[in-house]
Amino acid sequence: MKKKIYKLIFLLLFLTFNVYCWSEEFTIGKLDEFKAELTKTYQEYLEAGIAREVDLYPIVLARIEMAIELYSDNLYSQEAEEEFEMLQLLTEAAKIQMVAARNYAVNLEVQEEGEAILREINEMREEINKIKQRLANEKAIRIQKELKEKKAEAERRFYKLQNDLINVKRDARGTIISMSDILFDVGKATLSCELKISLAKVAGILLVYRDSRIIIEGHTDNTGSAEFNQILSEDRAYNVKEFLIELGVDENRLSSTGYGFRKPIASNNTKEGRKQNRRVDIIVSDF
Amino acid sequence: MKEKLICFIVLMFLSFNLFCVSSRKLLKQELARNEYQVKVLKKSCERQKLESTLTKKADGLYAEYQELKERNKEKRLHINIDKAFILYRLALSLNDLEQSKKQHERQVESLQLTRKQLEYLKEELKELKLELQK
Repeated sequence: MKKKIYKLIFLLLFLTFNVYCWSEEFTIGKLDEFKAELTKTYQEYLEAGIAREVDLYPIVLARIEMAIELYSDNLYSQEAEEEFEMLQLLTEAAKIQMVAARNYAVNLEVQEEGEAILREINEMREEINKIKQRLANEKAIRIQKELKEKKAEAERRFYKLQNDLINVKRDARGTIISMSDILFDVGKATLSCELKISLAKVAGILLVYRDSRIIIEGHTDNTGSAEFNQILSEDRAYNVKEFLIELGVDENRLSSTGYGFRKPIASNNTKEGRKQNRRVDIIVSDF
Repeated sequence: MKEKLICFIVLMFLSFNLFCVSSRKLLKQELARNEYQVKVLKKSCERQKLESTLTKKADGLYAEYQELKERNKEKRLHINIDKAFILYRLALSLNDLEQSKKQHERQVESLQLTRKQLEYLKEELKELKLELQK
């Protein structure tokens, strides 16, 4: 019986010793693993040529190495488990720090690439603006030229209308088409057939050259009262305007006014002068 | 001879005491340094509004450390402050990693947009050049 108990005790002691040795070896093996992992991550970090500093790596490595030494010399006892746990966490923290540092380095590369593209974009924008400016200038010159040609053409066509009853001239306000009052019934504002034909020709030209503004002015000589002449001149100008609208000229381009005998172009003392003063002027301006 | 022996023993005793006091002082200094580091890390976590199981655990350990310090129980002081330090560092490292990932996502997105913009501009420039040649 005694022998059996001794045997059992011996076996138990042997097993305990084995477990102890195994656990020690296991811990050292694990620590070696931590060290290897840490060193590998550090190597990768070094290879990436990262400028960002990592402070945990040397501390953790030294601590792991110290722990391996202490475990090997069998000096760890009470706090061994806690230290092992802490080393595990520290290794993790150090690795994460290095991975984060690598991420930031990659981010920096991405940022630099972005900045390079932005520089390229800015250069391209400058070039685009220059080309746009050049195109705009060319367009402006072309439009100006076209307008000039249009204006000359319109004037040419207006001058073609010129006869005994229609006089075409130019002054600072633009092209002035003066129509004699013979084209109206005496003392009335009704448009005669001849005037309507002439106005239709004028309207034809105005419809083609849409950029111009048109002012219709009615004028009389000094025969009769000022009030009568004022109303007559206004009515005649207004009727011409309405007829032009009927013919399709845009209403917004047209305006009419009457001046009575306030703006004579010749002397009212002679028959010839009075004849010249009785007129309707169509002023075509702002091509 | 006897006197010499007594003198030697006294000297040994005194130097041992001196050694103990100085090592205790060194330990205290180290502890203070560790505590300062932990405080800095804790502040850093608070400033970054970091709240996780790790920080909570670290807060608990730090609180426990202060309690032990008040009760003059030095035995576990080192372990507690060390653990708190590690946990705070781990929490901060994790946060850093998270931030780096987010930053990466943002930058990649922004880079893609910039590339698209560049493509559009290239196209526009090409068309304008053609228009200029006409």
